[in-house]
Amino acid sequence: MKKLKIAIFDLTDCEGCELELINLREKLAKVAEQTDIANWRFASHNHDLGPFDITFIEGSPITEGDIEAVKQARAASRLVVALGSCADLGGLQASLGAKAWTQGLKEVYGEKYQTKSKPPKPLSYYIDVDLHLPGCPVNQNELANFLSSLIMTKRPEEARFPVCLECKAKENSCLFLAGKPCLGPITKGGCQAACPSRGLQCWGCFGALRGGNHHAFKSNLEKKFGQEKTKSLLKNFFSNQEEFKSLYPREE
Amino acid sequence: MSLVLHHQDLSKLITELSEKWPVYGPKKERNEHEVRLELLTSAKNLSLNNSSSIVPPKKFLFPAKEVLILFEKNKLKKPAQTELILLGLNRKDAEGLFCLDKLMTTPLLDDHYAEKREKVHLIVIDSLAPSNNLNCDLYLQRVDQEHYLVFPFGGFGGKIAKSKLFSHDGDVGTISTRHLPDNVIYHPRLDEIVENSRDHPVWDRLAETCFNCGICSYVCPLCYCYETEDNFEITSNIEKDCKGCRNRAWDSCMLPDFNKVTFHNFRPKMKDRIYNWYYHKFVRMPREYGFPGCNGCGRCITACPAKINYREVLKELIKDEQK
Repeated sequence: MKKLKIAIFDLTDCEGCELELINLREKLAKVAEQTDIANWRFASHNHDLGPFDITFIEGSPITEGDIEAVKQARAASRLVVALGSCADLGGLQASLGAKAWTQGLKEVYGEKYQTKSKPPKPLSYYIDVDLHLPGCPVNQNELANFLSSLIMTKRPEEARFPVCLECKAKENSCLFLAGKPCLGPITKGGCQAACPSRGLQCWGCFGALRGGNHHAFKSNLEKKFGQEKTKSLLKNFFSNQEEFKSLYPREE
Repeated sequence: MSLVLHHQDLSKLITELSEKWPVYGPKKERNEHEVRLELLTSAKNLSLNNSSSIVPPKKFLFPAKEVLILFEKNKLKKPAQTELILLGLNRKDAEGLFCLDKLMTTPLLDDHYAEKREKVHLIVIDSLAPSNNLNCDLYLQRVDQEHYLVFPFGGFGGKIAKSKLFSHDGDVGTISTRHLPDNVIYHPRLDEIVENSRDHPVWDRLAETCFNCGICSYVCPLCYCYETEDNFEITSNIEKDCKGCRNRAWDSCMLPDFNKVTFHNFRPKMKDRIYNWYYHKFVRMPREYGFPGCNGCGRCITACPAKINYREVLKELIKDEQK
């Protein structure tokens, strides 16, 4: 069989997800043997222009150049994968919203500064995305299963359970019940409860769980932490998701 | 003459057993509420009061994630199971396991469960007398501060009971008939009441409070829904080696996609999923198995982040039925 031709592109982000890919070490080397990693600025000299079988895009597009590049990548690829929360959800940078983004640029660079950047959006705002691999950063286990599934032409399954499942599996005592604003109950799992297992509340980096009871969760949070804090918590990673938009319909 | 174990020898018993088998039991960590079933070597930190572990003993038989079958090309292999002792469960948890045994072996046998179950030996410790609904090997009934009455069951229990730590003592023979407050909500027609409650406003109210996180299922000793997935190992030639495993992991009927079959979700509404949780536990299971899908351990109440209490729900249904 022909080798899968893979490209990995990165936009505005911390490159942490690519680092997780590299952290697969021997596994990545084995994947590289049986695929053709044709373009990867971060870790390869190859910069083939396609067409590709699978294109991983990390980070969120913020300039016209970025947008053009992702459109070209889309046109040159059979499958496009949003790698990490910046690509999948817009990342933390998207939580600001257009107004605060413009305001922030002025504060940092002064009134006269002509920016080339647009407020960050998830990849799916500009192009069709076939597969999603969220996380800040992505989980190595999920990543490894994702890669082996693709090679076996098996569609990788997205997690359909909240963080709480893996958190209870680890027998953690509940942070939400301990009074912390943990977003675990409405956040998509797959991270193996990375933060709650270390005593840190879940910030929702895998995105809102499709079909979760976000309304109930929001009103529960509001009773404990007030409207403002609740909104800012939910906004961090969910701001571009339908779930968030239905909770805050008047938000820009 | 009854077989007796002195309380001070319990630790010695654990040490003695752990020389031959891994012994797991309820261990308290920081406080009384944080109990986990973990490896024991002595009675240190053993929690023998009635506070239950965060995750029920089902984790040894039906863990959060397990490998069912390992495959390599055309060869299938089952993972080896280790023999272990589960010590210090209270009677309620042991009765829960008794019910789970029934659920997982009848009418169809879940052989993955059965293979694990065969290797797990139970030593129950409780102040209540042993009941009929137990599949345990040894029952230690705490009759006073100092003594346990020892009831061995079956071959394995008999083997353990031969330990020199047990003695025949004529004085300790009174079996306490003290009963703990029973937390199981009982009504002779509970199944009918729940079945006919579809239009009750409580379901709408719950749909506005429940987060749909499924914690109530993960911590339930009698919830056994799961999903399976095949994973391939990353080898030098993934396609040719075709090496990997079939996993199964906990699932919950509360989760939004639980009822998705191919592309159709036949229970998309939260309200219906919540009703279904109660319906299965309090209507279907009593009719199919003769016991409800709840043994009153209360884990779902203490673990629910939305603080939903199923007992209050059932009480409300019963109360409104009588109107």
